[in-house]
This record gives sequence, structure tokens and C-alpha cells, in this order.
Amino acid sequence: MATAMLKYAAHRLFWMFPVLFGIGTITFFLMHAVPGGPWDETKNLPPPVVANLNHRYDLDDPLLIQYGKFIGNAARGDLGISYTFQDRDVSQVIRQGLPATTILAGLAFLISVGAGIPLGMIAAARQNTAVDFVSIALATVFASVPGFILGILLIMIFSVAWDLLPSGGWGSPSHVVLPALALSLLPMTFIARVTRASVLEVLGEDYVRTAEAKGMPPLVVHYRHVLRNALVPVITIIGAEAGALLTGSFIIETVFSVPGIGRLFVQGIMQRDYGLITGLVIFYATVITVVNLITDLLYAAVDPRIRYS
Amino acid sequence: MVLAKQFVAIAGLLALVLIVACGGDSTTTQSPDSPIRLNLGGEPNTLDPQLASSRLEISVLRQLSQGLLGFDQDLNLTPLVASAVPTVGNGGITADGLIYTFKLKDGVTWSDGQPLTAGDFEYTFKRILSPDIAGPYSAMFTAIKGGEDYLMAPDAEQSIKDSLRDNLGINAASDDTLVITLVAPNPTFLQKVALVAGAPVRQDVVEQFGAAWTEAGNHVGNGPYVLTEWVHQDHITLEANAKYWGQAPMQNTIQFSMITDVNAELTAYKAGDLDIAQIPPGTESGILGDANLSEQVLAASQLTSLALFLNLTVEPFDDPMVRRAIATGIDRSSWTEKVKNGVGESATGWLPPGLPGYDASVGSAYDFNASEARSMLAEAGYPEGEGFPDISLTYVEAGDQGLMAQFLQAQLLENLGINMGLTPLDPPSYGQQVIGGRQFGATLLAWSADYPDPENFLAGLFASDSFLDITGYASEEFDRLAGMAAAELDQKIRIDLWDQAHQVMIADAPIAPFMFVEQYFLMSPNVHGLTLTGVDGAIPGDTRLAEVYLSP
Repeated sequence: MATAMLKYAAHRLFWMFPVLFGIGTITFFLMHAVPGGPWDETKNLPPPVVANLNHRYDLDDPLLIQYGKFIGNAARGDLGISYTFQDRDVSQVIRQGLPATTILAGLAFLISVGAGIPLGMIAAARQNTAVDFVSIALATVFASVPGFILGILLIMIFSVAWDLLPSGGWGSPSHVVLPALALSLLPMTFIARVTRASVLEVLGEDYVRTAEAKGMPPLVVHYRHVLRNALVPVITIIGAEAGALLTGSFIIETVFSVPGIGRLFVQGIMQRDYGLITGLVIFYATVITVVNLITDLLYAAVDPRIRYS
Repeated sequence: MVLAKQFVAIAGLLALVLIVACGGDSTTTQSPDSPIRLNLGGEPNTLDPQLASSRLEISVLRQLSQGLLGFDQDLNLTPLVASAVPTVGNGGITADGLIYTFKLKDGVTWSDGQPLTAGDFEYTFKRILSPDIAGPYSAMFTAIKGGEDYLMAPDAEQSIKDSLRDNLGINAASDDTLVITLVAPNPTFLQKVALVAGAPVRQDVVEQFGAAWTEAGNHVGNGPYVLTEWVHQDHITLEANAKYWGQAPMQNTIQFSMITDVNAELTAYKAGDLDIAQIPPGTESGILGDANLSEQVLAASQLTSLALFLNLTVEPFDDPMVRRAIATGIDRSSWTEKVKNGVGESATGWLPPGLPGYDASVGSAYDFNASEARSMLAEAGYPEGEGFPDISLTYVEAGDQGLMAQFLQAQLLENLGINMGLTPLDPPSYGQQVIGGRQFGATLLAWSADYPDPENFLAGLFASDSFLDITGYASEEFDRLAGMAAAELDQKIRIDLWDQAHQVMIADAPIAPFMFVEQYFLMSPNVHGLTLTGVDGAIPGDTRLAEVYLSP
């Protein structure tokens, strides 16, 4: 069985490359099709300077040649150079931004899973009680407040009014708290709601009633039969959320001035930094593909009915 | 309210857990050694003086490097590394205006203690013109002998580039004398030398570290501060330069953060994390109405003009009468007074206050007068706006330009009966379509001085042969006056020529002047000694930040 799983994983990893190639190609041509280039600004540069810049960055080559160079370099793991940060290449820029994004996403992931699953289980176990209503009400509130408003609200409360935490920036553990919180609340409520629904569904299954009828202690029933089965849909969500947290902190990173890659991505698009954007998209695509693979493998670990071959 | 309470409760609980877990620490205390905490508004793309162009890069670089010349508070040239501003009188400029001789001050050193020589400036000015560097300000230095040939040779063989470089009219005659030869008189040449692009870089450092020479640890400069930390995308720390040859800075440390969101910047200021913060454009009236914060407001006029640029190559703006009707039909004061609460100044001319050649009376014919504007429009064939072609206002959605566009839309409808659509664009699309492609009807454009001279506001934008002639304006009279001014060495006559050119242009109305921009900041009461100038970058007072000190 283990070898079957390994073969499956290898197969999936192999298919990652055509997927990344396709994504890289689409992004490359899309970006070049967007009006305006990296040197177009509201105060344009003189023609000789633009000519020199195009020459320096090979932008005076025909588009197909540029594409060939891009694919060739990417195949060797070289994501090219950033047009905005003229002294750094894209891999370097990503490496510099990655730690902040990873820490932020990791903590947000822990909060959303660590709080979301228990919250959902409690709500399900105490269905239609005050606990249930409160947690569902909270879930609805957090799910409907956009991240940037939540972020500003957190800053107003914890930085401005109470002066407990810094309003933005990076460097100490206290800097991570507010952005991680702002980032985690939406997925947390999402996970809580899916957990609740899933647990409720499993609680109504015949095998649970059978186990209870056999006189099995409720704790064992809940752990062995309810939780394990209820977690299958939750894991799908968690997998997707892990990818989304790592790749979806654009707004939160901007609001809290976190030096991560999400903020870079937004800037890259605004400044038509072709190199940075294609590089980041390939990076994001890799992350999401790998996370999806891990999620699929976890299914098998949790649900014995699922087998890969 | 109930929801808010629940929200506070749960968020508070979670945060409490995390604070305990992480051991949070955010208390700030003021001491005489406290850093000056400023926000750049983003990550500098580069800290290489010959590559830098954005206002935030300029603000950092002014602390790290000093060129031959700078500007004082009245925007006069002032010597920095040069011992004097060259003039014909002191022998620094030849009578024909072609040869400039810069004498360096004694004892000027780099931050690693090495002496700074004229040879370093020779390297620097040759580097500005390098086609391989492709610096944004390179084209301003093509008056230097051989400069244009070198700059325009990106495809040339290395050996040819080397010989073009060696033949540039830039020579260190001795360790303390730099001689620059021009091909033609260029009366604003010294102002260009005073740009940040003219800040010296050292050959051995650039060659040793390559592009990474601007990183903390590698960087060597000659300014009052040195770069001790550059955490990309997060902050830059500067410490006083122990080897500084001028007056030592008052405060030992400057910390630049990189908060990109203007509202987050304001929040950081309110939380006590910044000493100076920009007031988000469009929210000034709220701050000015706040009893506490209004005491901390700092108003900075920044040599920035804003106007409605009209595309003279399309109907109906090819008709001067239509353009004059629009210029007369905008009630500018209701924007500055009612919408902006007094921030900014109504403009009927294009040269901003503080700039040599500024004349408040220019364009007074366009003082708001709705009935006169309507009769001009009727004379042009569009009574009450009837039959007026479909037009659109293109602008960049940034700051309060969206609000301004809506205001102008309402003004034209109300005062002239003209229906104007709105087309917001992001900066690169705007650059390509409007500035590069002239695909627009009307556009909002703000222009800030690169160097404080009317030439910088008029020559590029309105000369018929300029790549930046956005409106398609072509006037023989303007071109004639601009051509004379560009070669006139007598400052008084030169400014007078630009004044005439300005009036010719305004009378033809390729633009409807709107306002002179002011930027408002909040400054903590314990910041002292700040000096604002018209050429400040992103940080107000950045030309003399070394004189700023904090009270405990």
C-alpha cells in the first residue's frame, strides 16, 4: 500500500511540470498583453532612457524570443530579474519575502484550525443551545467582514485605543499577532461551520447509533467513529485553506505592512514587473499543487475507504 | 453594538492568549537617543543614486550621499561637496557657458574614511550617462560633451562604448578639481548637478559588490548618515556617520518604515509609532477639525501643479475657444475651500508659487465666470453644451484624484452643460495610453519639479518637438521663446523669457490650470528643527534632516 501511495505521489509530482509550464505561459502572455509596460509611469522617461532600459532587460527582443528565454531560464530554476528592484533577481526577492508570509500563514493556519474545529464540534455537540447560536453568530460576522476592515478594526482596538500591539511592521513576535488574527478569522469560521455540519451529519449515521446502542462509552464513540469520519470533508477545506493562507494574504500584508510576498505581488502588478509576477505566479502554483497533493494523501490516512493506485 | 462587543471579547481573548504565548512588547519610551521614526511609504526600488528616481528613494539618498551642490530653503543653489557654486564671476564657468570647474572642499571623506576626490565625481558623472546603467535622469545630462553619443549607444561594442566614455567632457584635473565641458550652453546645468543623480558613488565599491553594493554592510556614502540596516520591504535604519566631514547630525538614528497604505500610516502615527505621517489626501478636513491633531499639522507646498490637460489633436479641443470656455467655467475655489478645507491653492497659471518666474496674475482671464464661459462655448458653436462631442476625463485613481475628477465632471455639467465621462486607469496604462499614445480627450495631470526652474515645467510639456508634449500643443511663438530661454545665460533675462513663454501657453489654453498642490503631514510635538523646501522628496524636510532633533 505504501508503494502504491508513493507511486501515486510521484505521478502527481510529475504532472506538476506541465501544469506549471502552462501557468507560466499563460501568465507571461497575459502580463505582456496588459496595457502599459514596466517603464510606463505618469511621468514618462525620455526615449533614450527607455531604449537603454529595454536593451538592458532584453525587452527589445521579439515577444517570442523573450518567452523562449523565460521558459529556458525557468526550467533551470531561474525566475529571472525584477524590473522594479533593479539590484535583485526574482528568486532573491521571493526568498526575502517568504519567511514573513510563511510565519504569518502558519500562525493563522494554527489559529483557524486550532479554534475552528473545537468550535464546530462544540456547536454540533450542543446543537440549538446558546453555545451553538453564539458560535454560529460569530461565524457569520467574521465571514462577512472583509479582511481589510477587520485589519483596520483590530489596529484601532489593540494599537490605537489600548496600545497593546504595534499597528504594523515586522520583526518581533508582537508584530505577528494582529495580522495573523485578521488573516485567520475568516477561515476559522469557515472551518467551524463545515465541522459543525459534518459532525451533525455523522451523528445521525446508523453506525453511530449502533455503537451507542452497543453501550460503547460516548467518548470512544465520538473520537473513533464521529470525529474520524466527520474530518474527511474538513480536511478538504483545511488543505484548500492552507494554500489560500499562504497565497492569499495580499490585503492583510498591505494593511499591516508585512514584508511578505503577497504585498510584493500587488506591487508587481501595479508596476508591470513582468519578471516578478511570472516568478511569483509559478511559485504560488507550485505551493498550491503541493498542498493539494498533501491533502489528497491525508484523505487516505484518515479514511480507509480511500485508496490510491 | 452587540456584535461589536462580541467581536471585541473574542478577539481580545485570542490576542491575550497569543500575547502571553509570544511575550509581546510594544511599549515605546522617548529618550534623547530615540530614533527619528519616519515612513517612506514603500520599499525603495534601489538606493543607487544614478538609478534612483522616486521621491522616497531621494529622501533616503539625501541622508546617505551628498553631491557637489544642493538647494537651500529659497531653492538657491548651495555648495555641498563643492567649495563654491561655480559662476562666471568666480571663474567657475567660462564666459561662453561651456566649461564648468568645480573645486572640492578640503577634508571631504567617504563613510569608510577614504578621502573623496574629483576622480570619484568623474566616475560618477560618466556613470550617469552610461547606456548600460540606463539611469532615469541620464537624458538631463546630454549637454555634456559626448554625452548624447554615449547614452544612445546601448548596442555598441564594448570597445566603442569604452572610447565614447573616455571622450566624455568630464575630467578630474586634480584631486580637488573637476572640469565638465558642455557642447552648448545649458543655463540649468548646475541645477541638474544638484539632483540626487549627481551624488557620488565609489568605483571600487560598485565593482566589488556589483548590484548589491547598495546593501547595508556594503554601502559606502559621504552623507551625514550611514546605512546600517536594510530589511527589505520592512525598514531601513540609518546611523550617524562617524566620518562625516560636515556638521554632525543632531539625532543619532533615523528609522524609515515602509507602510504602503496611507491610512495605515496615519493609524501608526496615532498609535505613536511614527514621528511624522502623511495625512491621506482627501481626509484633511477631518484632521483639521480634530482639536488635538489639528495642532500637529504641517503644511508642505511642493512645487506641484495640477491641471486639466486637453488633447488638441481631437475635436472639440482643437478649438481654442472651447478650451478657454472650459478654463473659465471651473469654480476652483469651491474645490480648495469647500471640498479640501483650504488645502492647496487655486491656480489659473502653470508655474507654482515658490518657483522662479511664478506670477500670480498669469491666467487671471480664466477666473471663474460661468456666464462668460457659457457665452464662449456658444461662440464656439455649442450653446448650453448642445451638440458637444462625447468627451471623457482620463486620470489615475490615486490619492484624491478620483474625487477631483468627479468634481470637475460636475463643474462642467453645471456651468457649461457639458457631459464628461470618467476613465480611471492604473499608472502603467495611463503612461502608455495618455502620455505615450495621446489617447485621451481630457486628463488630470500633476507635475512636480525635478529641479526648481520654469524650464522643467514648460520645455518638456509644451515644446512642439518634445516627447512629453502630451496635449499636442504646437506654437511657433512658444517654441521661439523656449529656444531662446534654453540658451540664455543671464538669469534675469532667462526667467523673463520663460515668463513670456508661460503667458503665451496659458493664453492658448492647451491646459485648464486647476490647483497648486499642497501636502499635509502630522508631526509629533517633540520633533524640532525641520526645514521644508520645495524640492523635498517623500519625507518633508529631507534636505536637512540631520538638523532635526527630538525633545525627550
